[in-house]
Amino acid sequence: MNILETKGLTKSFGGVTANSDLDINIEKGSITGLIGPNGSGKTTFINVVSGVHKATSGRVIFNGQDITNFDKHKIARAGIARTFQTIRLFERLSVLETVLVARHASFGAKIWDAVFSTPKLKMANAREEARAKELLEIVGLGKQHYHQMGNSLPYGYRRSLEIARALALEPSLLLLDEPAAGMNREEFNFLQDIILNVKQQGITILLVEHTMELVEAVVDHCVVLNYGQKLTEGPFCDCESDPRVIEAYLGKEEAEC
Amino acid sequence: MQRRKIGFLIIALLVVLYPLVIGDSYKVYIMNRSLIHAIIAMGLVTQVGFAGQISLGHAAFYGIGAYTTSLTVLKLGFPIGLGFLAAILMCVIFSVFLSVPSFKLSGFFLSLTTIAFGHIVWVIIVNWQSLTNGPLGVFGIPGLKLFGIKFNNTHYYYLLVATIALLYLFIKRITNSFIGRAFMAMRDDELAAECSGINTRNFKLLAFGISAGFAGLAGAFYAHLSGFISPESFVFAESTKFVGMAVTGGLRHLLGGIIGAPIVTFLPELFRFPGWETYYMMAATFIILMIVVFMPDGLAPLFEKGFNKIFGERDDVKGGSSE
Repeated sequence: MNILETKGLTKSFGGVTANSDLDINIEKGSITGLIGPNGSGKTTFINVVSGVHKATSGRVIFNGQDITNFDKHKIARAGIARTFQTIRLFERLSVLETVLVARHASFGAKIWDAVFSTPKLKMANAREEARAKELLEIVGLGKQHYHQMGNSLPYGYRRSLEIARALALEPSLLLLDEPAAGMNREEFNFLQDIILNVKQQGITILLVEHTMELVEAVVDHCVVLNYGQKLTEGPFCDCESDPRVIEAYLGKEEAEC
Repeated sequence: MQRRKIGFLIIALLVVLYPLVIGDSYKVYIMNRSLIHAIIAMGLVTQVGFAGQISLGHAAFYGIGAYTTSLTVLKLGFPIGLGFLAAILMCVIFSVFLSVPSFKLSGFFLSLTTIAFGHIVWVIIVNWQSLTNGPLGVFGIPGLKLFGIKFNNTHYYYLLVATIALLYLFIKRITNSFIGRAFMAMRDDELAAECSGINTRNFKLLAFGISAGFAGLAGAFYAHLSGFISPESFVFAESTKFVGMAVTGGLRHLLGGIIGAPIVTFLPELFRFPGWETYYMMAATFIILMIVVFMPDGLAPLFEKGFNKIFGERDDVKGGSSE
């Protein structure tokens, strides 16, 4: 069963077509890798699915529901969470607060609960904080980090925090945009553990990544983009050895040296 | 704990005794004016400092509040309390118009829009003569009364202090809650906040609504306190003054407005040396400029630090000195 299907999804910026007629299906519970050379439209795809960009044409079907061009927060609440290629944390919020932002909808409290500091709000606060701490635990951020500013964390932890914030939406689909970019070996291994751990909890993942080692290690299925179009798809090993993919990444081999 | 309580008590006592010690009714009146401005600055701290939505048009809400209560009381015969309520409500309604552009705009572009909004309201006040009496202003606005006693400046002072205490509690509860967290997330990174499920439109409406309501309340106080209003009190320069107060006090500090408004109001008075009358404003403005440049977080954090130093827990210091 597919959790996400796109039908003829196209996104152009002026004259540049970043995504052209994409039919991509993501199977529920799987990790799908979205790879391709720079500028092939991977991030644009994530942006269109998460509502950051409006699609030029085509449709995005999530869990059988057409969510094309929904507002970002509606898509997020429907169950599609994402991280960003360049980390986007809240500059003046602590680690714990950052995760709590994404718990907003689960508070179930109104402004008057805040003004009169009602028991309902206090209960919600305790409940959501406990959940936020659980999520931070999953991504390896312990007690000592709760009250640090998110941006003051080391690079790897900032990535983790972004993933925790995305998980705080209790998503069924998680879009990861180059999570391993710029990571050292230790951070890389840890990220791999997090991704597999998240999968085990039944969350479907779409992974955009240039680090083939990570893609090879975690993905069940691979989609290759080139110039905004789908080049091929299949298991990673097939894609890896496909001459068209090699050509897209490395260019054509000189004939007869 | 005990020390802190003493500290709060001393500050409360100073605040309560101020009009009795000063004795000069005019100075209390000026203080009242600054407290009215503090209400607006508190709203701006919420809207600009916490929610990140700049406004350089708050004199418009101040004016809408002042004119709404004056005209409903004078022309429709509303009781003053109802006039206050109408003023707040009218401002909240108008804030919706101003927050709609903020759905698309931010930063410079939003500030330009708010300046334009302020100017439009001002032009309407000046030109809709049948309603507002134009540049001549509205006269004979009745003052507040309680149990048959007409309010003097000292009464107004206590009413304003009580009002500010309540409003402080209001914004403290809001900014410390999940709502304040959404405000700050929206301020720091709007896109990331939206992708985290925050409907930023609602929070922009709320932020504009709160600060417009505060400004409307302030306008109502001003109208009944001074008994006379005219368009010149609601010009663009006033809007910038309100933002200046919030920034001087501390744009991201809950006490920012309350501390900033009296300082910006009274600082010029310190420089009124004989023979210097022409320049005193310049000197005061220069100092405010220096505060903004060298203390971008404003004076409130400094005030808080000082308070903690004098009245805070001192176990560590004691332990150190007894060695």
